Amino acid sequence: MVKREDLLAPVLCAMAGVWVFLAWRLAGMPDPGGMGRMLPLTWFLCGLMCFHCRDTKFVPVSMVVFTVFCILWRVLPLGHHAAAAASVAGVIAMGLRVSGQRFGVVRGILPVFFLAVIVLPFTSDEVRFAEIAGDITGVRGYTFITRPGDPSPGDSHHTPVFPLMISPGLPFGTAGIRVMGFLPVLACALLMLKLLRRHSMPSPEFIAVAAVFMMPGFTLLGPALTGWTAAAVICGYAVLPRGRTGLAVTILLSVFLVALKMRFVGAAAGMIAVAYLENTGKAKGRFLVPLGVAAFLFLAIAGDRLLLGGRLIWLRYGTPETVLLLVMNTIHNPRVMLFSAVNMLFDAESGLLPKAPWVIAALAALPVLYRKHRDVFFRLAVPGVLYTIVHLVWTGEAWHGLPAPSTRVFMPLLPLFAVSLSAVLARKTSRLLIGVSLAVSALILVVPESRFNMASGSDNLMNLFQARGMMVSMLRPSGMAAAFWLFFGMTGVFMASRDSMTGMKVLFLSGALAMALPGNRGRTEAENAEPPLVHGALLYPENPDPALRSLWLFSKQRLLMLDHPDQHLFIQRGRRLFIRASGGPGALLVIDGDTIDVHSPLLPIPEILAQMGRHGIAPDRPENRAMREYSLDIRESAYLRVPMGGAPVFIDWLEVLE
Amino acid sequence: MGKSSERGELAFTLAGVSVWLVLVLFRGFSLEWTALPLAAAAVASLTGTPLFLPGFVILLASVFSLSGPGAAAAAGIYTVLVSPGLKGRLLGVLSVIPWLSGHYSPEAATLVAALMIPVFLGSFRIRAVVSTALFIAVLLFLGPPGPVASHPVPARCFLREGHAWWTVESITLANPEAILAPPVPAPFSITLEMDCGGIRDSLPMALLIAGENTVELPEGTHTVSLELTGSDSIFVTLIRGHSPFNHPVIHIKAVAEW
Repeated sequence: MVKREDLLAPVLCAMAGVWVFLAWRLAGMPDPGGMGRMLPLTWFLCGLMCFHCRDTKFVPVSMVVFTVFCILWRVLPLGHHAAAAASVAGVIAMGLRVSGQRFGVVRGILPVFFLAVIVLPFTSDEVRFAEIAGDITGVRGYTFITRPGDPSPGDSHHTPVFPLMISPGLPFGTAGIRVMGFLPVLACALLMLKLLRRHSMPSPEFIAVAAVFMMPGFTLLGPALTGWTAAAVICGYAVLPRGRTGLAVTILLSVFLVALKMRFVGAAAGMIAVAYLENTGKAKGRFLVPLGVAAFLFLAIAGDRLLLGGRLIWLRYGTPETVLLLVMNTIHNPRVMLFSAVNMLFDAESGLLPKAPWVIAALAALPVLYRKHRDVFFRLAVPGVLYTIVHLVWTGEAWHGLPAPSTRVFMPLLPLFAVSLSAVLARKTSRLLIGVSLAVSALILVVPESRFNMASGSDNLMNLFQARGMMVSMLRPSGMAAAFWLFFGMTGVFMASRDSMTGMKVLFLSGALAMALPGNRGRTEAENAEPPLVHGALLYPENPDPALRSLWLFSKQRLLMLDHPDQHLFIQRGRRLFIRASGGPGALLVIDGDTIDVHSPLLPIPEILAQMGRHGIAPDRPENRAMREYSLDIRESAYLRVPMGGAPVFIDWLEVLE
Repeated sequence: MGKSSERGELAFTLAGVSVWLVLVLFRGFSLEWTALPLAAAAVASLTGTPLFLPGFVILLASVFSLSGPGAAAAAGIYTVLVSPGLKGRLLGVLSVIPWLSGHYSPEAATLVAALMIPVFLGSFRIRAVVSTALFIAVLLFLGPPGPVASHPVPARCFLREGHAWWTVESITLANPEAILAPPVPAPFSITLEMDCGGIRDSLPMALLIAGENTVELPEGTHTVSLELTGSDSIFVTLIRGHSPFNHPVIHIKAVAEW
């Protein structure tokens, strides 16, 4: 018999849906036909899923915040996005609440998945996978537009495994493909649940559902890509029994993982290595076998490369190139690798911690996991860490894969982090960090375009908050910012391990202040300059796709380009102007009637490439010219432009002193 | 109040003042930002409630967005509602006033004036009921607060030899005007494609003003071509105010040739 209390959550959720629908229209917020309908529907679905749930305190909280933002949406800079995010946060909170009940994992995830399918644009490799699936199955309907830098139309480094997995959804269009992409998400959550339950870890259902939401930009809110399948495989491996059967299945899973995407080879190797070590007990010399296998593989690849010119073994883009790449990244480029590793954690656009601060709690919990569940620790940590190392060495500075949502590259680490978080879920700091992460997820869901950063040096989501202070940027390296955020991260882990709420809040405050205070007062990155400071000037390169700049030899920032006398920079008030600019022969700048020659020489090939046999001067392209700094006296206001017939001038940054 | 909590109040008030001073140092003085130390002092009066520290941290963290005065105002309103002491509630109201100075509108001024009443009510329940009733009454009579009139910022223009194009933020009730500065100081022709929608009638929803031309824009897609001189800016202004069940929006594409 249905009790009255069982209906409380469904009724409240339905009322929330009605209120969201009405308030959106009463407030006159934009997109009433899109988000203004989908959010109420999500609440109704959430209500259907929340039957029997008696913990409903987040619904009124969410609705109060939503209402406040609705009233103030025309005044506040975040506008209606904040209202929508407050509503989504309520749905996520209810999903977490219902997770502990029967079929709770599915019931908790489903409403947000519904919203994601509807509101997220179908882009990136999703289209490419759909195209490949169409080629295989004959159900065509998607064509990937070749991006600049792609090998050639139709050429792809993708294997057919994932396209085949999503192919049953092809006849049903985008939603069908997303549903097929959802199945690995669900499999990952259920396998994680099984793993957590088997080891009697606390709140397994909560963790399984939260994990799905906590990789902002690449939760199930993300596109149907291979990351969730990899995470599901690693979770599946972690629940396998020991013994020959387990070893055999591990090998099969490893092969599947590599077939899914070559990038996961490190994770596959880690799985096999751990399974081997688990099954060999304390046998003498057991470490020699994996080392021997690794040596054999290395010799096979190197021998094929040296003796046969790489004919037998074909790695991505060809064996010679891959071997050269590995040599370059490991032997010649350790400093860049080190910086890339720091960027992986802290970069504002693509790093893990700015978008998923819950990882701080997870890192703090790793020793706990190691002490209490050593088997699980090794089964998750070794594949995860090996994957990360291989990915970093393999892809080098292009590890982030922008503009696709960058957190996708961290997916094989999700099981490790989520399971270790489970060990410290009772800590207040963990709850705080989870709350912040889920809020970021909610914001990203309602502003889906914020996931697609263009390696511009500033993160789309932080731009919404107008936060442009001291942040780590792989494009604009700053030792001070890197040192600060490294210290911040380490202190965060320490505070989380001590469960010090006050310390964590003070830390958050210091981070907020670091983001608030401008690193260089008055300095403007020229490509970010807005009217009335800039008029008519173009950006170089015009296409923002970071793939176009990935092979640039020096700085990879876009530049502001002045190449026409009607384009100008207008300095409204100030006494002195500093600019950092470059240009080819004939590049001049005119300011207040004075002419400045900004011709700068081409730079020599970087040392790292010189060590590998490339010598001489870099090709004659704007990005390869030396940047020079100029200090100019100006009157109260001034126009800065190129003269008629002058060569283009490329500006990196400008600074006005009043 | 024990001595330790008094010290806590003082410490957090000083922290707020320090952050404010740093802001003044880096960003220059602004009347709006005086909300921050006031709000810090107001929130500090909540010592002992579970929301004291998070409220304080959120307040200070808001300085990383330029919406800090808004957050300070929100903290002030919150303090008016929950602070047990008159001093804290008065400080709460005071921290809303600097925000009002930068975001003045009759609606906002009325809301702040209405906030003065619950300050002097001792019981939390009575304050909550009176505040909610006043809030609803003001909203019903005046409508929600609208965008603040600010210095007009032209849209970002890109130009090459002989032609130019703009990236124009969509016009909504929160951003009711777009300005396109002339691309060159010479006669030019401009073509604007405007998708207007979100209203429930066929009356004009926006005006396009350029030189001596004025065009009324009802709902629908409009393509307007104009010949302008080098000193003519183009203004597209929403003429609809807030009205329930209307969501006016205009998407603009513009290209010019000369």
